Amino acid sequence: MKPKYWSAVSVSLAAIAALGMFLWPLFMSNTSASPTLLAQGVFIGLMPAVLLLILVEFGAGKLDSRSIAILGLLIALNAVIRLLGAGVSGIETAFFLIIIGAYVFGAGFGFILGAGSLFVSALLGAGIGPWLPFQMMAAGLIGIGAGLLNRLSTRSPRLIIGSYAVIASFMYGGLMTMWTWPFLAGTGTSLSFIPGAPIIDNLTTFLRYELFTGGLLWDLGRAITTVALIGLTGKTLLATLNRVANKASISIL
Amino acid sequence: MIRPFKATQIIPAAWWALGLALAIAAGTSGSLAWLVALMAITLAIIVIAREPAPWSQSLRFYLVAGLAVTLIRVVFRIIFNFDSSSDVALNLPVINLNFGALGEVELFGRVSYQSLTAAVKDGLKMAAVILAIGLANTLANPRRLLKNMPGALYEVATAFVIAINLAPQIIASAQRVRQARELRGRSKNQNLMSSLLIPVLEDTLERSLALAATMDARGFGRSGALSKNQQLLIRFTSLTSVAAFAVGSYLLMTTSSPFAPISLLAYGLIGVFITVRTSSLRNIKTSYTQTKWRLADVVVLALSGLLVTAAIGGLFR
Amino acid sequence: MIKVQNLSFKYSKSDFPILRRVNFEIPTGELVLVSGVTGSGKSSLLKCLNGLIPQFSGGEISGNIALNSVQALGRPAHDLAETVGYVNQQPEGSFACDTVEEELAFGLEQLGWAQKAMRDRVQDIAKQFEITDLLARPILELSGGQQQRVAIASAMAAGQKILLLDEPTSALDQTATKMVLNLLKTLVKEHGVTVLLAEHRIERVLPFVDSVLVVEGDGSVNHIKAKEFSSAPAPKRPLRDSGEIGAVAFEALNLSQSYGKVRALAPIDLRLHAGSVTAICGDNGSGKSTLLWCALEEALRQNFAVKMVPQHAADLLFLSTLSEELAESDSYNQLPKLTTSNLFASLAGRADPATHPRDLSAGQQLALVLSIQLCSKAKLIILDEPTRGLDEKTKSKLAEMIFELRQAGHIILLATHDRAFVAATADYALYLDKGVSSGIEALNEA
Repeated sequence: MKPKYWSAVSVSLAAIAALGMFLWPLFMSNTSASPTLLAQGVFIGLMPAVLLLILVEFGAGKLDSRSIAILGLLIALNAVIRLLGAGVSGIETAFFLIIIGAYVFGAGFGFILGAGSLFVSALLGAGIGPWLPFQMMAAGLIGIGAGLLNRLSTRSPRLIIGSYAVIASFMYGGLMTMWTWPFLAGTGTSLSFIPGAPIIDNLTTFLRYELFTGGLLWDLGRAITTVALIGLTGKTLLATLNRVANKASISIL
Repeated sequence: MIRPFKATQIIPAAWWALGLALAIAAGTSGSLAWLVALMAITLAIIVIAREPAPWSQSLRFYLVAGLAVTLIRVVFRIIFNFDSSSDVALNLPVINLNFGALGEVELFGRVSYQSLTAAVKDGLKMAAVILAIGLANTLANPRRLLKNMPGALYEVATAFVIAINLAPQIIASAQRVRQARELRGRSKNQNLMSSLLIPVLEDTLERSLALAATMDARGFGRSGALSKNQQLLIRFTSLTSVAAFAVGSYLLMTTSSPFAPISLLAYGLIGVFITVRTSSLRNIKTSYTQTKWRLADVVVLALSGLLVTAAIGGLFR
Repeated sequence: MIKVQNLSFKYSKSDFPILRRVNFEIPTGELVLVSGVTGSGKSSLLKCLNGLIPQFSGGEISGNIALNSVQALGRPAHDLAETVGYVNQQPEGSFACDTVEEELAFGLEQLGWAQKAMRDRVQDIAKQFEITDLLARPILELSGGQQQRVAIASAMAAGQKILLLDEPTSALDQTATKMVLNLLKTLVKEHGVTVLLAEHRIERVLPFVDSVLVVEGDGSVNHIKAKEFSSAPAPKRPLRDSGEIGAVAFEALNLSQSYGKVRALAPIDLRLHAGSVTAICGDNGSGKSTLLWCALEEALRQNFAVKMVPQHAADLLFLSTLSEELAESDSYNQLPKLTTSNLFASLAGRADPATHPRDLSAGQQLALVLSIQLCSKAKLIILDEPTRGLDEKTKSKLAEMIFELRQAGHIILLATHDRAFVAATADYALYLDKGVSSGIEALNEA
């Protein structure tokens, strides 16, 4: 099998493992020993390992100096937008650039762009905490998704990107809220997850939790902002980045 | 104050290992006593070792975050309480909240001491985890960490370093462009984002590509090759590690004995280690800044390992 | 020694080769100026020599290049890194590392040097380039001249014997330029390095060089001794007709600026006459831009019709093609179509309307921004470093244009550290040193 396919298999498995580390409250059964404790603790150390694996898969020996320079540029731009935008509206404003950048340059580039943007903006001001590897992974997965989009030939890239942005906004919000759910609501409140309950029950409880904490509202805000920004800047941004990709003949990972 | 050790004497990776180990220990802990002990130890290490450097000032942030989480936990418990008849601490009226299609939930009611203490304990647990990460972040200079990445991550780390350097220049560029727009006059055809974002992007883009040229001109991009065997090894370890992570996590959540999933996860971690080390053999590049591991660093690493093993073994429950 | 035989290169997008059957030989230890008008292929020639062409640029290349007996044609840049060093224009620092020390070591790391050897070498090279006291400093904190020194040191760190520089002094003032040129001269004389330097500012550089490579518009290259080289004459002051300079039309009194405790500009009075050109001169950091911006604010406060072209003229451009920018200018200023277009053509000649503004040459970009700003019938026109990056021909055109505006009664205020340009265009000059002026001086007529 070609190396590219092995890479895809590796990354897909890693994504599944990562998703498991987000969604474990839904799947946790009643029988495992001290379930919540182990999962909460272990996954904090495990997520960085999975991140590492995917970064090595996409990055080691695969990026030339121009890709790195452009990656650095887009990450910096994202970090600045995120730090300045958060002050203004409190809503994630950097997503649109991650999605558009990933769409132009490909899935591997997109993962590093997403994870890197969250990392560098945390470094530069947003604060590093135990949530960071999870944010990085979530943003990275969104980057991969956007990168895979460019295989669809289309007459209206902005439409595809915009629709993806809506889905991605809710996905990111959902994943991050799901991660904080056990930490903030624990077990034993009426809005907590119940180990061993059927997935539907836990999901319903989760939705109630989202509704109460306004998580869905945040996600909606994020979706609207991202789509709006894509609408405003999409055409010129796509043109600029495509011009760079061609001029510098950057190969798509 | 006597200072047995300073933050910069230990390499950043070791501090991160310790931080993660403390986080895992706290995360697996169920007893208030252990939690307080862990937090005290963490805090002590931070206060003793930290240096007055700009990257090291965020202790307050982590303490506040931890406090906030604990408060939220307690409030949540009080609001979304299961009405209990025994051991009542707070006697509050019951309110019904209707979530429409998602059903109905009872709020408040009589809150028991047990609930409250459970909430405080859980909140403290999260606070301890946050503080542990705070230890890693205040004692390990992040930029130094970036420069000490294993060779397999060199390209990614370089991109991050470039990003960190470019950020202030982007802000300066944005200010310049904003001024320039005023000079030209605003028209309806411009929208804020396009006329600000695009010039800044183009400007910084030229610079980035010029940077790429000077990097190549100095030799960037030479790479050795890995032997067939090495490539096969990497392929094997990365695939099996990832599979081990996936299966191990799932088993962790569903089976009663932690032995199987933990050993799978441990295998996964070793696999990751081997993958990264072998991939790094590809690099011709040497490192100016890489420091070797010394005794103190190894001691810290060993302590971290012990902590994690103890945690998984259930010591802190 | 550099030996080039029958070198030809053509970009994929263009129909004509930019370099055509180039032949020359440069002996070791010579300082060579590479000159030619914008777009003529100076940069391309340098990039062919170090491998960036065709690796980064695409296109078709043929011929033979030997650098100190190393065959170089068609090899990627990182292969040639040990043989030849390369320095870009460094616009406010595009560096790969945080501190000076790391930047110096960067090339050595890529080439696989052992750590101990790298540390020794960094100390040696810092001493050689006199930047030892800067080693621990973050590069972003250094001045333009210091950054350029670091860039050159980093390019030469592995002991390369050939150095290529692409317009290294365009952003530097008089003092910094002289320092860089002296540095290059020392490299050549004391270390036997062969240096090729592409430059527009010929009059500054000519005294230092041994020979000149002239890149002609048809792609050929002539190698001449420095003594035999005569550049295009400096822009001459056009004979002034009997029109006197008008009365004082604009007054900006007591202009000063402080940032916290630091005074960037001491109180200065500006009295500008109608139909005159006033030049503000001084080194980088002396407060020229600050003075211009203060004058702008004052003019706006007085509702005086003023337009300014900032240092980075391209900051004003945000559309995707030349024609869109011109049309936007027409519509914003409510002018008939093609007004701006004609103005642009009179300044820069013809250009493909579909070109992306960022792909235009520096001269064309300046011309575009000038035509956009001039359309609005401003009385006072302020220009911040308009000559940066322009070749002699375009500078002459700019001088002519300024003269025409002057004849039409406009007031021109410009900041520059190009003394020759000041002598050719200005009626008055104001010299700034660390924010303090020594008064306005009337320049004698030609």
